[in-house]
Amino acid sequence: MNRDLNVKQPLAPFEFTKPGEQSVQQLVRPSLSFWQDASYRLFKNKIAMAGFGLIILMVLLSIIGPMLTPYSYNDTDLTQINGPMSAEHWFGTDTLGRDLWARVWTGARVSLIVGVIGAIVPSLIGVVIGGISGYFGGKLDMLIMRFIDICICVPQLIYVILIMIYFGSGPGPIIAAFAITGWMGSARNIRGLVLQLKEQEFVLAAKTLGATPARLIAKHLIPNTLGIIIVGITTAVPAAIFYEAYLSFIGIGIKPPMSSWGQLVNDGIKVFRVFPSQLFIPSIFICLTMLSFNLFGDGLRDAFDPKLRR
Amino acid sequence: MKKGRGLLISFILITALLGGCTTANSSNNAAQPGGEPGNQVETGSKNLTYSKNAEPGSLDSNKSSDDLGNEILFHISEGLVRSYNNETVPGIAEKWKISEDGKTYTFKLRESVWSDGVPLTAKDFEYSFKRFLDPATGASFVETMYPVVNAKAYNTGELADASQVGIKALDDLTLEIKLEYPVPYFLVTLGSNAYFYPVRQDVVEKHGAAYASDETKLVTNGPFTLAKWSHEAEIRLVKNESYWNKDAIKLDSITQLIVPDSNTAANMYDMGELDYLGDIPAALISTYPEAKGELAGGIQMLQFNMDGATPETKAVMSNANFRKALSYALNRKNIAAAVAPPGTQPANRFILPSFTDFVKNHPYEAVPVEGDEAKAKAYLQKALEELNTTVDKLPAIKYVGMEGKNKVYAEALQDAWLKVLGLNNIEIQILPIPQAIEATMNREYDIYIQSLSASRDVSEVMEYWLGDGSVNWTGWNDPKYEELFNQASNLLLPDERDAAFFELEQYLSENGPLEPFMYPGVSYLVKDYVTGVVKSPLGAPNQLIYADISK
Amino acid sequence: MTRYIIRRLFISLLTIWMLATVSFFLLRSLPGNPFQTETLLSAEVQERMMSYYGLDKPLYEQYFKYMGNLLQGDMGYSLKYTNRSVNSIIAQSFPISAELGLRALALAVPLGLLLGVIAARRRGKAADYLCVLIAVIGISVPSFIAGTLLQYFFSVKLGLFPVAQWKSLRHTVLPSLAMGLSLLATLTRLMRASMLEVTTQDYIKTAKAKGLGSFKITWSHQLRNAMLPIVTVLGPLVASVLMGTFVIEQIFAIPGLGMHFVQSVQSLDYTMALGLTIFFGAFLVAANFIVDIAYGFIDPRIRVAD
Repeated sequence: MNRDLNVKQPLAPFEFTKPGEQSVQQLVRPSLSFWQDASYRLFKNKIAMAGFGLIILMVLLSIIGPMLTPYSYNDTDLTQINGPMSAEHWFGTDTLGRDLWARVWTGARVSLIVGVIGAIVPSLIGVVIGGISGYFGGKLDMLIMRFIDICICVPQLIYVILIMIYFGSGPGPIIAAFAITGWMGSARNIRGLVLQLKEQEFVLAAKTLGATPARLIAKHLIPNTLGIIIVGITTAVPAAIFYEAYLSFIGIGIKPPMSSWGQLVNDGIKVFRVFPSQLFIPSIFICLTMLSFNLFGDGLRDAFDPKLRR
Repeated sequence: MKKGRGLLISFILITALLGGCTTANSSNNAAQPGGEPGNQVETGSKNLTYSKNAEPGSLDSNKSSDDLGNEILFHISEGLVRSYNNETVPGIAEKWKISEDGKTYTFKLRESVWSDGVPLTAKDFEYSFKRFLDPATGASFVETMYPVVNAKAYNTGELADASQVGIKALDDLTLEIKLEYPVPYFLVTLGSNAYFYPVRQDVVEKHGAAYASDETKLVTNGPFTLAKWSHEAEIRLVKNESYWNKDAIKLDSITQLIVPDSNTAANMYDMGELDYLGDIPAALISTYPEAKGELAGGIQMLQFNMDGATPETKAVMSNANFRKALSYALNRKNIAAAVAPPGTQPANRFILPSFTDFVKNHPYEAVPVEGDEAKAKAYLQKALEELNTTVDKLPAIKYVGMEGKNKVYAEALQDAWLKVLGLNNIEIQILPIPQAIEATMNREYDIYIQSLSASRDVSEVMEYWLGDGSVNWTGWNDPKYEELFNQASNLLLPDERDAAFFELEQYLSENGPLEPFMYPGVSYLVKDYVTGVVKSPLGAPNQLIYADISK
Repeated sequence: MTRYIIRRLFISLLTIWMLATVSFFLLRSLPGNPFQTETLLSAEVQERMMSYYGLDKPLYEQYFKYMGNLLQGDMGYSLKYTNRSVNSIIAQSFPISAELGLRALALAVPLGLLLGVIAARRRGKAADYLCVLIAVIGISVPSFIAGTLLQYFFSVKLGLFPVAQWKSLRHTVLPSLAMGLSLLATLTRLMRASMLEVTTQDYIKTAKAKGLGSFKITWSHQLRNAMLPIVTVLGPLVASVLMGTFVIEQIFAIPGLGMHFVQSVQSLDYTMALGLTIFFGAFLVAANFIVDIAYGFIDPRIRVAD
C-alpha cells in the first residue's frame, strides 16, 4: 500500500518542477521501486539465495553432467548390471547395465524442463481463468467455479491416458497432462486474491477516476498479484517433477529408453533392498531440487510481499 | 471475540477427536475378521498364509476370467477331473470311458455332497456346463467348450434349445459329453479350467447377479470351503469336512492375503507374516539364494504385424528376412539373465520344454538362444536388398509394449537392435493393458511381445495363428498352414500326431509372423516347515490342496 | 439462509449431473474395452461381451439408462468384479480410506498448525528455520519413497510394526504416518504464511498499542484470522484425503478406495470409474459447502448470503 515509503535510493534534493513536465504519480512512485525493493530483499535472504544457487548448480550439471562420462544414458551392457559406484561408473549401473551418472543428469534435463514449464503453463492458465472469474464476479464467477469443481473431480487418469494415446509419451505430453490437471488450484487462488483486491481502496479510487477494466487489470491487479503468481510457479515446480514421478509410479510417463528422475526413482524402488544406491541417488537429487525451489519460492514470496517487511 | 475463539477451539478439537473416535471404533471392528497374523488360533493349528497381488474378478466359476479367481476356485471346487501338478487325475468322476472315435465321453460320478450337505449329481454338471454356454450368462472363455456338439450354435444364439447341446446327465451319477470332432486333450481342458466346476441351480438363481460375491452366496464341493472373503484384504479357506477325500487334506485352513506390491509381500515373508511367497520380484532374487524357479507354462513371442502399423512399415514387416534379422540379433540368454523374472528360460522353439517326449523325439532349434550376430546382419543385408533401401531410410517401426511384466524387455530389445543391426528407428510405446491389446487388435503396431498359454497341448500354441485364430492379429493368413494344421489335428495316434505337429512347428518358424522369445517363469519361496506346495501351469498357479505344515 | 442453502443445493446437484455427463463421455472415448485383459479374448467374444453388458448400444441410449439408474441411487455392477455392485464396493472400501485419512489428518492438522504458528512467531529465528526445514522435507519426499522406507526400517529392520494390511491399531501407524507427513508439511507452510499475512494488519497493531501480550495477540487475534485461508484449503484437502491414496494403499496393502480410482480407469471398468467419480464429486461439493458455512462462523464479516 504505502510502497512509496520504501524507496531505498536517496531522494533528490528539492527542485521546482514546471507544470506538466512530470506527472505527479511518476514522481511519487517510481515504477522500478517495487522490483528493486523485492530483489534487494531477495538478495539479502541468504537461505533463498542458497536455494537459487542449488538450482543453478542442478541446471549446470544437467547440461555438462552427461558429457563428463563416456557412457550414454541408453548404453546397455547386460554383463555389467547393477554395478556399484566405481571410478568407471560414478553412480554405478542400473538393472540393464546403464551408467547411472549419465542417466541421472540426462534425466535431470527432462525433470527440470517438465518441472519449470510444467509449473508455468498451468499457473498461467489458472491466472487467466481465475482472474476473469474474480474480476467479473457474479454469474460468470459462479459458472467458472462450478466448472472448476467438475474439472477437479473428473479422474485425471482419463486425460493422461487420452493424451498418451494421441500424443505419445514424453516431456510435452506430460506437461500437457499436468497443465490440464493442475490449473484449477492456481485459478482458485488468483480468484480469491482478485476478489479481495477488487474491494480495496486504490482499485475503488481508480474506478472512480474512470479507469477502464483493461487499465485496471494491467496497472493494478496484475502488479499486485504478480508476486503471488511467481511464488506459485516456483512452488509448483516440485509438484510438476513429482507428478512426472507419480506417472512413472503408476506406469505411465517418459518414453523409454529416455530417463527422468521419476523413472529412475521408480526403477530404484524395486531394487532398493538389494541395491539401495539406485533409489537413493535419484531421490537425493529430487529432494535437493524440491528443497531449493521451495526455499527460493519462500524467499520470493517474502521479498514480494510488502507487508512482510521487517 | 471470546465466543468466536471458543468456537474455533472446539472446531479444531472436534475435528481431531472425531478422527480419533471413529478411527478407534472402526479399527476394533476391522481387527476382528482375521486377527493379527501369527496368532490365528481360532481356526486350528495348520493354517497356511500366502499372498496374491489382487482380488479375484469373480468366484462365479462359469464367469471366472483370471488366474486369481481360478486359484481360489481350484481349492474350493472339484470338477469331473482335476489337473494337479500338471497331471489329470480323477475328481468327482470316478472313472470315464472314451468312445473309439474319441467323440463321446461318459463319466461315472462318485457319490458326493455339496458343502451344505445336498447330494451332488450329474445334473449339477449339466446345468453348470449349459449355464457356461448360455448367452444370457455372459461367460467370456466360452470357446474352450466349442468342440462340444452344438455348443457354439447355442452360445452364439443360433440355437435356442439347450437340450440339443451334447451334454447330458443320463442318470444321477452318469454324465455324457459328445464332441463334434475328437479332441485328444479334452480331459485336460475339463480339468484345468475353472469354468467346468459344478454350480448349483437353486443357489445361482437365489442370488442372481450377486451370486458368489461373498462367502454366504455360494456353495462348493472342493477340498476347502470359502469361509471369509474380505474384499481386497483377505480370503480364508477352511477345510471342507464333507469333501469326499477329506482324509488326504492336511491343512485346516488357507489364508490368502491380498498384497498388491511385490516388495511388500517379500517384506512380509521375511517377517514371518507369510508362509509361502508365490512370486519373487526379479530385483530381489539375489537376496534369496534358496528360491526355486519354475516355468509358468506359457510362451512369449515376438509378434510382428504383417500389415504394418503404417503402409511404409508394411513392406518392412512382411519381409521374412527382416523379421529373422530382428530375431537373430537377440541374445535371449543374456536378456533372460539380466531382466527376466527368475525361472524364465530363453526360448528357441514354440513347443514348451514341458512336453518332454515331444521335445526329446523332435529336437529343433528355430533360433539359437544366444542369437547370432553374423547371421542377423546377413539377414538384414538381404532384407535391405529386397526392399531396395538402407538402414537409415527405414521407416519408424512401432514397438507396442504392455504395462506389466513384459515392459522390462522393451529397452533391452531396442538396445540390442541398435547395437547389432544399427536400427535406430524402433519407437517404443508403452500402453495400459486394454489400450495395448486394442492396438494389437487394430494392427496399430509393428512389433509386440505376445504372451500366451501353451501348456495344454502341443497344438495350443499353433492354433492361435490359423487364419481365423482367436487372437491372430498379425495379418498372417496362410492356407498351407491351415491345411497342415487340420491334417495334424485329425490324427489320433500320438506318434503320428506329434510328427505332424513338429512339421507344423517348423513351418510356423520359417514362415510365420512370430519368433519364440522366452518361456516365462516364476520363482517362489516356502518356509522349511511347509511341504506339498505345487506350482503348475495348468489349473491354478499355486496348488496348495495337499500342502502340509509341520511346525 | 434457508433460501441460500436451497439454491446452493440445487447448484450442487447440477454440478454433479454435469460431472457425471462429462466423465461418462470422456471415459467412453478411451480406446479399448473392459474385456481386454492379459488373458486374450477373440474379437468376436469381446463383441459378444460388449453386447451382453449393453455396451454396444448407441452411446446416448446407454447414457440415459445410466442416468436413470443413477437417479434411483443404483450405480450398477462393476465390470471387473462382475458380481459386486459399485455401491457395495464403495460401501466396503470408503470407510477404510476415510479412517486412514482421518488418522493422517488427526496427526497432521494439529501438529501442522502448531508448527506453522511457532514458525511465524519466531520468524527468522532458528525455530522458524527448523519448522520450514521439516515442512520442506515433508513436501520433498514423495509418499512412495516415504512409505517404502518407513515400512522397511520400522517393520523389517526394527520389527516394531506389522509390514502391511489393515487389521489392528498397530497396522495403521505406518501408513498414517506416511500419509500424514506430506499433509503436515503442507499445513505448516500454509499456516506460517497465513499467520505472517495477518501480522501486519491494523488490528494487530491496535492490539499491540493496547498493550496486549504477544501470546494473547497470537491467540485471540492472529489465529482466528489466519484460519480463514486454511479452512478454504482444508475443505477440498480433507475430501481428497478421505478418498484414499493409491500409493500408500498399494505399499501397505490397504483395501481402500484409492486403488479403485486408478485401477478402474486403467482397466476401463466404466461403471466403477463413473461411480467413484460421482461419489468423489458429491463429497467434494459437500465439503466446499461446509467450508462456506464454516466461514460464517470464523469470520463474521463474511456472510454466506453474499
